[in-house]
Amino acid sequence: MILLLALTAACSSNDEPASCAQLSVEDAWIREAPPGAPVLAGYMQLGNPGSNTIDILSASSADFERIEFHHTLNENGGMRMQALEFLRVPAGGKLTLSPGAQHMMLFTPTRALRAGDKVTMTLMCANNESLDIVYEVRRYSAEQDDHSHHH
Amino acid sequence: MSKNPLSNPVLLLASTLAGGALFLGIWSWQQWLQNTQGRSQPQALAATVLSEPRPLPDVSLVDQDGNTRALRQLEMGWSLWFFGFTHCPDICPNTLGLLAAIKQSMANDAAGRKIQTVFVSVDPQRDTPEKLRAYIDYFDKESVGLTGSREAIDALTSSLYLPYVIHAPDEHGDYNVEHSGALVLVGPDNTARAYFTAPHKRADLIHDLRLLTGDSPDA
Repeated sequence: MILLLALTAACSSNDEPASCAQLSVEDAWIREAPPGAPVLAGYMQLGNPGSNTIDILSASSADFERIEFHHTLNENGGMRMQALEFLRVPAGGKLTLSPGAQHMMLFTPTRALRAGDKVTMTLMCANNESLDIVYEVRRYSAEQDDHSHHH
Repeated sequence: MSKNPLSNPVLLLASTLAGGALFLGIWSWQQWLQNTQGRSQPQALAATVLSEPRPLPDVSLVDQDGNTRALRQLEMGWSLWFFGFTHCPDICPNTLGLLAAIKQSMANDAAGRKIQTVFVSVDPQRDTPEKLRAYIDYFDKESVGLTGSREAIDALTSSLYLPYVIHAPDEHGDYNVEHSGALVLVGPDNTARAYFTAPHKRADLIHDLRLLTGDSPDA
């Protein structure tokens, strides 16, 4: 499954280079974590107005040792984290990273991050372009989430 | 694409086996729940209520202050237990934040009942009592963090039918832990009373907790 996705990614990025710079970014934020927490999570919504799929292969930041993409899966009540090879923003569509779903896993913060702090991350796209995004550190409450996420 | 952790056949196999083990464990938990839940299960509850309270196992864990806590001698009233680990940036903070909000709502209503949060780390190798304390204090300073020997943790998780799987470390030495998203309601007599399965809804939890903790003679 993963392999298949990887193959199709390789194919689609060969057509016409889709520009990473055309991605729209909304609601880019990092969850404020307990002091000393070794891993944080980042979320955002990316919009792709173009007609080509855009794949994001990696992310980096001076504020973290490394960054991975993960998906929290609830499999019959068991919580599983699946590592994702890349993030895919569909042509003319959106990709949403949100609590309990796809997220950026931010390993080993190099400074204490508190609500209100800003963190810049660089996303590397499949065509070797990069995109800098500023994330705001927020204190997150599940209570807010209950009221704000009515799909 | 060379960084794909799933491209290593050994890791892939290990990961598949581990995932299968968790699935099997959860499947048997669900079978068990179906067989043991009370016949008088009120239809309106999101919780699965056990027909007979299930005593916590006769083992001790270590709390966030380093104190040994015998699970059959806890004196914390009603409590909601969640199992996870602190290297968990998404689902564990979601759940602990939710539990803190629920506790506040319950304390503020007419009955004013306190539902203690208990967070059990199944990752004692990384989660020392000090780390556990920093982690849980952030959400709720009154909550209790527990961890301990692998044997004691396993006695508890298998007694509650809540499997977890610790994966092999990756090239950075990091490893992932799969765990149940369920919450267990434990009564003041240290018996498991009911389960809530993920995803959790705040309103459902509060509704059920009011009913489940309200009419107990020992509450």
